[in-house]
Amino acid sequence: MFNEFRQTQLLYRVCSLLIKAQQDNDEVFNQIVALLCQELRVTGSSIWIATHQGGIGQQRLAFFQAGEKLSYSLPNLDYQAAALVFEQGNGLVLHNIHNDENFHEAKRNDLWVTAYPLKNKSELIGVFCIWDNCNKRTHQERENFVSLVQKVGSELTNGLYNYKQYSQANHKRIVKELETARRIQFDLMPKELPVLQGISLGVRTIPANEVGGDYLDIFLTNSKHLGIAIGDVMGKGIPAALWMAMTKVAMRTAAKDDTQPHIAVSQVNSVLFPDLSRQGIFVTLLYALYDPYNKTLLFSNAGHLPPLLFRSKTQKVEPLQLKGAYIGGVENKIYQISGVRLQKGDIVLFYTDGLIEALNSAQKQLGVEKVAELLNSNALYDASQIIDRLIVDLGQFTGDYHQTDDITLAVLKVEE
Amino acid sequence: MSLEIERKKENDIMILQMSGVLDISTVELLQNSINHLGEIKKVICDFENIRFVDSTGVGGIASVIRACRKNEITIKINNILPEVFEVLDILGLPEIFGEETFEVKQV
Repeated sequence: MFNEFRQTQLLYRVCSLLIKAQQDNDEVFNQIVALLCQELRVTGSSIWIATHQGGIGQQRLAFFQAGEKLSYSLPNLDYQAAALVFEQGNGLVLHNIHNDENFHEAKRNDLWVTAYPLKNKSELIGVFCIWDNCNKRTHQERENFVSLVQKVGSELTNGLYNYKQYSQANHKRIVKELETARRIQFDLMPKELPVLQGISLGVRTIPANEVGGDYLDIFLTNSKHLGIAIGDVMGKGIPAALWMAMTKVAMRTAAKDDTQPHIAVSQVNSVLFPDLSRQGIFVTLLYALYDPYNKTLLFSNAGHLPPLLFRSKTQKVEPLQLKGAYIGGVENKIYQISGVRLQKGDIVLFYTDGLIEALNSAQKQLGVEKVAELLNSNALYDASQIIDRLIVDLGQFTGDYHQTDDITLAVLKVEE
Repeated sequence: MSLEIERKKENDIMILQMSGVLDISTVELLQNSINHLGEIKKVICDFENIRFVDSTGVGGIASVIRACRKNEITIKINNILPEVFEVLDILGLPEIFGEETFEVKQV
């Protein structure tokens, strides 16, 4: 049925596809099984790969089945055939699966299946399965067919081995790069807080597992005022980390020389707008400037959550409301400015959405009201103690529920 | 957490009935929902059953609005729960895309 020339041609095409698979392209294996089904005129084919996570396991790397309607779930059939090969290490040819005790769910007497072990030296790295209708070929034709499957199989073994090596190396490299990005981002967060008479300061970032986009910077301006900038880049991963770094540079540049907050925020928007809007990304940014001599806090807001102000006199918490579109939203926007005069004992909490959106196991969010309540009940402490206590309370709320977003907090308290 | 989008076509208006959460795990579904609009002139996103939107979700909404406008399709987001609207409002979406684009659910 298949002459030498066509066999060679088919093997050549399989091999040329396999070369591509070395570039970590698992789609190639789907192309190979589709090609084999088409050329060998069989119903279906699949390739399985051995996984070693928590004992020997198997994972289907590629699957193709021609349009023919079959009365039961075929994926089960090739799963079981592959599992038998993984278990026993030998090839399998079942001419009639009807009476085979391993195929309870596939009680069909018109299918045959062959599963071929893909072994690199003695290690079983995968299984190659083919199944078809028995009535299409004679018993002898099927025997010949199996020898062709073996030839294809030995080519697949090499391809699969290279693919595995490459994808493992690639995976390690990506994990390492993400770790580096995480570390760089962490290094961009404030390490040493400025010392300023009359106030206490505290900051904390709790990173989620992924690379997030939280941004915080605290610095003294030329005339010894305190600048606090907090923000959040939309999305996660490397792009968010890059934008966070860009925002930090743009903000520092805009804020030097004691620039008024709204001028600084407007300038950051003008600088970042073209690239942000082109990429469909945005950054929220709140910049506050505290003057320790007359205790005024001026601020401007580009889409960030309003900071919470605890008033010592009234023992009440109020948000510092001021609206403004996010950075990257409106070209050449002139942002607004607002301000409050603080008094001894007053506390301002700056935070990112990870705090109020933190979930517990019942999928309930912490919420801004609860944060205000916690701030109120911890108001006697200094800024860094307040942060510690908020974190403990947060932990009690979330329990061991997996946190998916970065949480960033900064507290400014007027002590005298 | 998931997002379901039901597409209903009425003449040249497409109504997208959405339910669930709009965050980093579901935002792609929102973006895909406005593919292949053909002769559609107006898209109405019904947010009545959207319970939560995070900042990536807001980014998704912004990109969908921009994509529609680029193709001269009017888009409106209706029935937004007040707590969800608060998130959109803090980020400034009504300022960026016009107040008339967003309609809060009357409680």
